[in-house]
Amino acid sequence: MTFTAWISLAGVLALLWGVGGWSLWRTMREEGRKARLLQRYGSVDRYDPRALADLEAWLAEHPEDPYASLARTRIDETRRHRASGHPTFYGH
Amino acid sequence: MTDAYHEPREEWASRLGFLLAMLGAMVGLGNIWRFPYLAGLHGGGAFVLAYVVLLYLVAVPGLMGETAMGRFTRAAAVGAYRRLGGHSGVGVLVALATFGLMTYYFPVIGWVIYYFGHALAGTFFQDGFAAGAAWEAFKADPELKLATHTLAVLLAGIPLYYGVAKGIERASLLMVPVFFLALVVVAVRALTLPAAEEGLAYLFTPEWGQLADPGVWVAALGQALFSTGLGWGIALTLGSYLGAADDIPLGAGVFTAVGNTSIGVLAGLAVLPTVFAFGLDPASGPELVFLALPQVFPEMTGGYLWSLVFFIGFLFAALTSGFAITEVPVAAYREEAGVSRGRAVVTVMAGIWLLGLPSALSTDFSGLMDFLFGNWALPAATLASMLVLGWRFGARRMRVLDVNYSADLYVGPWWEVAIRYVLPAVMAFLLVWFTWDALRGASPGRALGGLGFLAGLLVVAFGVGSIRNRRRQEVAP
Repeated sequence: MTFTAWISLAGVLALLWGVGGWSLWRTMREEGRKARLLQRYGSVDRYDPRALADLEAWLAEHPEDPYASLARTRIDETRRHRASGHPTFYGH
Repeated sequence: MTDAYHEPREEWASRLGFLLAMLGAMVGLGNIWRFPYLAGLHGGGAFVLAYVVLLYLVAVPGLMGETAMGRFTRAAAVGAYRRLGGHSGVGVLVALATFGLMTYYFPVIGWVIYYFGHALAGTFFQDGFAAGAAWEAFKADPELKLATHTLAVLLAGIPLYYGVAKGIERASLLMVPVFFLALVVVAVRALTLPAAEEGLAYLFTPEWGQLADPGVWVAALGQALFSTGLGWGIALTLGSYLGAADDIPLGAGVFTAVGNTSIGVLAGLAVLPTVFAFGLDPASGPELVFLALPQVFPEMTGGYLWSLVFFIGFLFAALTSGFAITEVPVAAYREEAGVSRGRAVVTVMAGIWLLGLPSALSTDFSGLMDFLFGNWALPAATLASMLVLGWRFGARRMRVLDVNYSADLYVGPWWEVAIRYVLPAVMAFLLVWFTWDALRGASPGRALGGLGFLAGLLVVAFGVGSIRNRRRQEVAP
C-alpha cells in the first residue's frame, strides 16, 4: 500500500471514527451534566449565550410572530436560571 | 403558540437508547456491501473524501433539522408537517414513501434470515455446498421466500408493538452493539488474512482525478443521503420522542451521520480484505454477501464461528433498520387514525406483509419497486420535507427556537443556508439526474413510468393530506 493510501486511511479514521467517538463521548457527558443540574436545581439554562442572543435578535425583529410568545417563555426560562445564582450548563 | 413539550407523549428512557436507535435505523444492508463497493469503484480515498465533504455539508445539517421538526412538534410525520404550517400531504408522502420502501426491504431481511439459518446450521461447511445453487434454490422456492418474509415482518413487529422505550429502545440497545462488535471481530480477522493490504489499498488509495468526474460526486451524494435516510421521516419520528432537555445538533446530527459512515468504513475493513484474500470481485454488489462470502467462510480457520458472527451482525443491522423505519408509518397512522399502538402496528405490518408479497416472490418486482421509490418517491419526500422546513416554517425560526434549545453544540447561521438553499438544490438536482439517467438508459419507457408513478403518488398524498387538513384544523404548538 502506498504512503498516500496510508495517509488517506489515517485521515478517514480521524474524520469519521475520531469525530464519531468524540461526539458520542461529549454528548453522553454533557447530557449527564445537564440531567444532574436539572435534578438538583429543578431548572437549567436552555441556550448557549450566542444562541440566546440569536433568539433575542429574532424576537426583536419578529415581535408579532405566532411563535413570539414561545420565544419569550424560553428566553425567560434561561434568564431566570442564570439570575438564580445556580451553576449554569453553558456558563456565562 | 404553546409549548408542545407539555403534551403527553412516549419518550426515550435513555440518551444512549435514542442514539443507538437512530444509528440502528440508518445502518442497514447498504452499509455492509454498498459503501465499500462504491468507494473502491470511484477512486478509493477520493470518493471517501467527496463523501465526507457531502456528509458534513448536507447530511449533518439535514439530520439536525429533521430531528428538530420532530422534537418541536412532538408529532409523527403527518401531524408534524401540519403543525409546521406545511400541507399534511407532505407527511402523507413521507409515510407512503417509507411504507413502500419497507414492502421491498422486509423480503431482503428475509434473505438475511435464510442465510443466518445456513450459518447457524453450518451448511456452508457441508460437502458439496454451492453458494450459487443455494441462492437459486431459495429464489425458486416461493414457500421459503414467503416464510422468511413473514418471519422478518413478525420479528420487526415485536419491538414496534412494545413501544418506544420498552420496544425500539431496548432492542436497539441490544442489537446495535452486537452488530458493531460483530463487524469489529470480522474486520480484525479479515485484516489478518493474506492479501488483506490489497483490500485496504482498494478502499483507501486516492485517485484524485476521479474528483473531476460528476458521477463520483453524484454517487457520494446518493450514498450520503440514502444511507442516512434524510427526509424519510425517520429522524423526525424518532426525534418526536425526545424531551425538552435533549440535545439535537451533536447527537442526532453529528454522531448519527458520522457514526453511520464510520460503520460503513468498518464494513469495508471487514469485507474488502476478505474479498481480495479469496480473489472475489469487489464490484459484485449485494451478491457479495449472499453469494461470495458463504464460499469464503469454509476456507477460513474457525469459519463456522466467523460466519455465525457475521450473519448475526448482518441480521441485526437489517432488523434495527426494519423496525425503526417502519415506526414512521406506524406513528403517523396511529396519530392520524387515533388508534392504539398495538392496532397501528398490526395494521401497518399486515399491509407491509401483504403488499410485500410480490417483492418477496419476485426479485424483478422488488427491483422495480427500488427503481420507483429510490429514484423518485424518496428523493421527492426529502425535497418536500426540506422545503417545508426551510421556506414554510423558516430555517431561521427553527434554528433560533429549537435547534439550539438544550443543545450540546451551538449551531450558527450557516445552518440556515444549508437548509434553505443547499439541500433543496441538491435534492432537485438528484431528481433531475435520476430522471435523465433513466431516460438515457436502456428503457426510457420505464423512466416515464417512474415519473407517472411519482405524479400519481403526489396526487394520492396531497389528496389524503387535504382531507386530513380539513378534518384536523390543528393549532400549531
